[in-house]
Amino acid sequence: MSETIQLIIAGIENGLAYGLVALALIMIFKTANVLNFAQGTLAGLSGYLAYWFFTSGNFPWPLAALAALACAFLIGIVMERIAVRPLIQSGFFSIVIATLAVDAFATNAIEQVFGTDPLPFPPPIAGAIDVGGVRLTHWSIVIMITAVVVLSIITALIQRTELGLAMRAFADDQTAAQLMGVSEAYVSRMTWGLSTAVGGVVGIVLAPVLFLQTGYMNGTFINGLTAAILGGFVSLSGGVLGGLTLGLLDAFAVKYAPKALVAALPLLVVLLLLLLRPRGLFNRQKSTERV
Amino acid sequence: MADARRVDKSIDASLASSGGRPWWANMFRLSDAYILFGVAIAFLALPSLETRRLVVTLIIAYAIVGIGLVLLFGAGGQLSLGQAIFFAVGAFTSANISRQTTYGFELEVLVAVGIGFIVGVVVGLPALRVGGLYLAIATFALSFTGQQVLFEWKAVSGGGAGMPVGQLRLFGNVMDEKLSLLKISIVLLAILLWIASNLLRGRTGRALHALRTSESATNSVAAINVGWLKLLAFGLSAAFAAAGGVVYMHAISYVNPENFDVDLSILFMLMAIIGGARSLAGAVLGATFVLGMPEVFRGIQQYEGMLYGSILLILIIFSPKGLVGVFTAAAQGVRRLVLRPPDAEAMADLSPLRPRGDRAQIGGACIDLEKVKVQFGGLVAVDEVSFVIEPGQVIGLVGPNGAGKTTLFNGVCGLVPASGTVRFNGTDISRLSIRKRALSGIGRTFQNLNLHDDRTALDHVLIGMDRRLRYHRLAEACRAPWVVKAEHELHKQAQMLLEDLGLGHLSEVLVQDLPYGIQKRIDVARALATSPQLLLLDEPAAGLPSAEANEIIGRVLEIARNEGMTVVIIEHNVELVASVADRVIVLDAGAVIADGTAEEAFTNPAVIAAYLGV
Amino acid sequence: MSANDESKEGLVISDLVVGYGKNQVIHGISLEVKQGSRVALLGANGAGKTTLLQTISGVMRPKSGTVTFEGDQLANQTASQIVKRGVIQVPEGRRVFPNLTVLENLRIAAYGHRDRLEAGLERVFAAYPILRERTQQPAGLLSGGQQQMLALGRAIIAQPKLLLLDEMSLGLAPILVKEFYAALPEVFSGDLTTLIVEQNAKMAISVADYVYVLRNGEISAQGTSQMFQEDDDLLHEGYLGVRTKGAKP
Repeated sequence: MSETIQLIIAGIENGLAYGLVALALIMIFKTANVLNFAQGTLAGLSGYLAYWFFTSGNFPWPLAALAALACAFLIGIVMERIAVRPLIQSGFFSIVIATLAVDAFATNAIEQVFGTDPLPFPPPIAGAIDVGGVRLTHWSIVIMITAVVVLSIITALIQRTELGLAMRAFADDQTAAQLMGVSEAYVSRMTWGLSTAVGGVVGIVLAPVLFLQTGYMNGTFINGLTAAILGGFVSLSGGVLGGLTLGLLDAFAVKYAPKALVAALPLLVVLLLLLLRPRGLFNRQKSTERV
Repeated sequence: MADARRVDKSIDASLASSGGRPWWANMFRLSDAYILFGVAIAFLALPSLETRRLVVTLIIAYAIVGIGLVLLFGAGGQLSLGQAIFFAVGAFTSANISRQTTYGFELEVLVAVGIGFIVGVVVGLPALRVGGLYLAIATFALSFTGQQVLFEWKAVSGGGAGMPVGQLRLFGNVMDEKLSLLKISIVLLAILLWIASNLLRGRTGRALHALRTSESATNSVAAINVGWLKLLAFGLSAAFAAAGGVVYMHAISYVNPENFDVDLSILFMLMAIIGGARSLAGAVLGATFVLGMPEVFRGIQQYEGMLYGSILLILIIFSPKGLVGVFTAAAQGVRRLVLRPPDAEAMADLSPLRPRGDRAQIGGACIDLEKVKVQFGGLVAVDEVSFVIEPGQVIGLVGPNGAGKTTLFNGVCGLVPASGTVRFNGTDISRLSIRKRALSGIGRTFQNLNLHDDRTALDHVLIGMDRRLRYHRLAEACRAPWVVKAEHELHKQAQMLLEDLGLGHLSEVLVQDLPYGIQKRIDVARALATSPQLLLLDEPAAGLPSAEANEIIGRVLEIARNEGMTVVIIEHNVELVASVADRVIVLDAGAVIADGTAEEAFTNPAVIAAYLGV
Repeated sequence: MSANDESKEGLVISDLVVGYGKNQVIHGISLEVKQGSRVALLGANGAGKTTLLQTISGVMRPKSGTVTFEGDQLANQTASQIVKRGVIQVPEGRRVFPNLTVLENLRIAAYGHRDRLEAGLERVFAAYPILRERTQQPAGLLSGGQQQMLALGRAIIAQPKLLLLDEMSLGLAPILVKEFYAALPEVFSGDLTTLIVEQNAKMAISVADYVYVLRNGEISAQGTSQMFQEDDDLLHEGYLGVRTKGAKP
């Protein structure tokens, strides 16, 4: 029994991470109709930056994390300016390829600056608690709390603020939003900045768990992508639910399924979904979105 | 089925030649010369390449992958981020064959290509249901998880340690001379370039380009099965990538799953775009660039990602056609200065229609609409419309903005869901797919044209005539004589159709460079090319000055009447409709409010009220 | 006609040419909407009316020609800047945001000016009481007429100086449309500068001071609304391009 609970907790922890990545991806998809393939690498970059602020800058850990997040936000805005804005007229393929170019650039840049060896980044809060045979590290608790907090902040932002309203209007009908005085450039910038920052949160909290090494966020990114598809790519909450589902699925698969199957799991889920239910399993939106 | 009644307009019948080149003059093309030239140069340069043979062989391996991407992405417009896995399929297939059997390179390539094709089709299955972005995601997921699977599947891949490969054999002989692999690879590359160029020039290439530039027109006008086409494209690209993998495997003599990661897939994509995804030369150029640069500039090896990333970003913004694009743009600039391309503004006078052998009487369709209704949520766009059109009639469909005319067309063609019954020559087509309806004999134009950007006027007619071709793809790949003949015939017929519409001199001009009025004509030409029994024209004269409008409508109707086609024209130009239509049907708010001669319709008080308001 | 100084000038369009690529939709037109007046722009579909409004609002860029409002050049500004100048459009088909609630639709109309929501909300509900009952409903679920009310409500909140109405009659029952037009003067302050684009000519003529007819991208007829009301042929010719002698509704 306790084993099952252990698996469930692992599933939720991972699931929340996947859900946040899905959230970041869906945010961009809703406004720009494009997938940011650099999301995983940029999330990893945030982790590296937090490490750098912590070690070289001697910032206390929370401050290092915040500084890295601020950088992530800025990186998102810069990326929007140089890789997305010039290509608005060229169609979404061009933008997707541009994000791939940024991904290649960022991966190499990280290697150059931080090297290819894994960097030690122990969890700032060590130790664990034991509750009735279930072991929960303190850092896991931090991860889950952070995820929930970020989710709440983003939800509040989107539902309650003027910016969030503008973003939602923009996603519904870009031209009509412009007729209301919403600046296309502003919404686009903020979306990319926020999305990169949200990805950055995941990269930072997972760094002590996955260890800082080249491509350490790739797996999480793929799973986040799958979660986004589960949410039909239109529903933020759907993406989070998708993430949780995938996290739980993954946790149990690792324990009970043959290794090759576990490795192929995201792909299988994606293929099945796309074939059978392209609109996603957790799609809450009533309006027909373009698949 | 309706098409059993149509006269077979396939190209088995030969025509009285009206002069010009004989078909067999097309057996050999300029690109063949380039390939032979390249092979000759390569063999001549062999001695000097000996020290660099590894790099050159790798370039060839990558170039082969690039060829596959030209078909899938450059022509077909489908984004694939999983090519590394197909590459791996080829590598591990041949590794195991070479280790465990005495069969040689020739078999390795064939088996790799076969398995690669199948895996490619499986991975491409989502393409049957979803579009570009989701396909990219599926292939991306494949790339990542495929590598994980390879790590686990130790029997085939040797797991994390990888495994050494067997000897290189060809037709039973061991080939251990230093340059053997390079020579074999050069020949393989030449053969694959030849095959790819045959496909690109023929029916497959045209269909892929049409798919990329307007999937909906390809489906609804050319009536090509876009789902199968995408699967084919994926399969082909995977097959080529697998062939490249075979070369790669022998070149590095040791295979390890860790080489085939996501970054490699992305590198292949980058390579294709840097070189220029639309041309085969781009595949070779891209591979040379990506592998050659680190050779020439020793120091940059570690900065590859940043370098290629930046170059790609700059290229995609300023020269999306890649390096090849930079060259061809310069060449075109020179051409424009030296030659004088035909003045597209000058409309050729319409010469009288010549009688054509290929335009046998196919007759018009009888259309029977019964309570056809189209509803979007709470909005009823077409409200239980019923009428019957006799074969060969020319109907004007008019009404104020928002009356539902285009929606009615879309309902008949299957582009929007509709209730009620649509009968085509007595057959109920209401449940048929868009493509099947088009195949039964419905040809249409679009309000927004839906043309294929970056394609010539001739291409549009050729894609409309696609269904006249009967040859098999394998024959196309090998450029069989009957394929050459059929293509020649098709081009002739297409050119004649263009001439009938006064566009003969513009056949080689890209459509986006043409004025709006001519673009509209090309839309019509494409519809006529499908030899329809029912021709649906959606505002064919909109935006044209009266003289031009009258001329083109007149000619189109002349062609239509010659063939007995049933024609329905949506038009706002009341005078025009009055002068050409046998019968006018007026729609308002989705319902028919008048049905009779033009005179009757336009003096009907209800019609005037609908147009001018109460 | 008193002399107008610069700041009192209404909307002035001069030799405007608009097109997509090689396709010219508007072939060089000039028209004027004097401050405080109501002008109707009529024409069949495809004549270029919506394109003109899109250009004025900054969603499309003209190839050549000028658009000025109150003396300011609009042609080189972004859509959001133009909205800031008080040029507000009620687009064709209403285009309410389907996934936003009624209240949120009204809120977005006050984008950048929080105080406008409070200032205008009561006026909106007074004019269209049914909206008060449905503030939390997603706008996509409203009927056509209610969506039109919401679209007009958004315009009220935005405190327009120049109001552009694009085909209010589209898809609505004529009697509803009549009511909307009739209520315009009270819902907005009476002397608002208004450009009404319409296919339903009679309706528009009855509420406008001056009329232009657009056909194939050119002005084919213009005059006071009285002129149009007195001579049917003027309208029929400008509109349909064909004389329909002896057929009066």
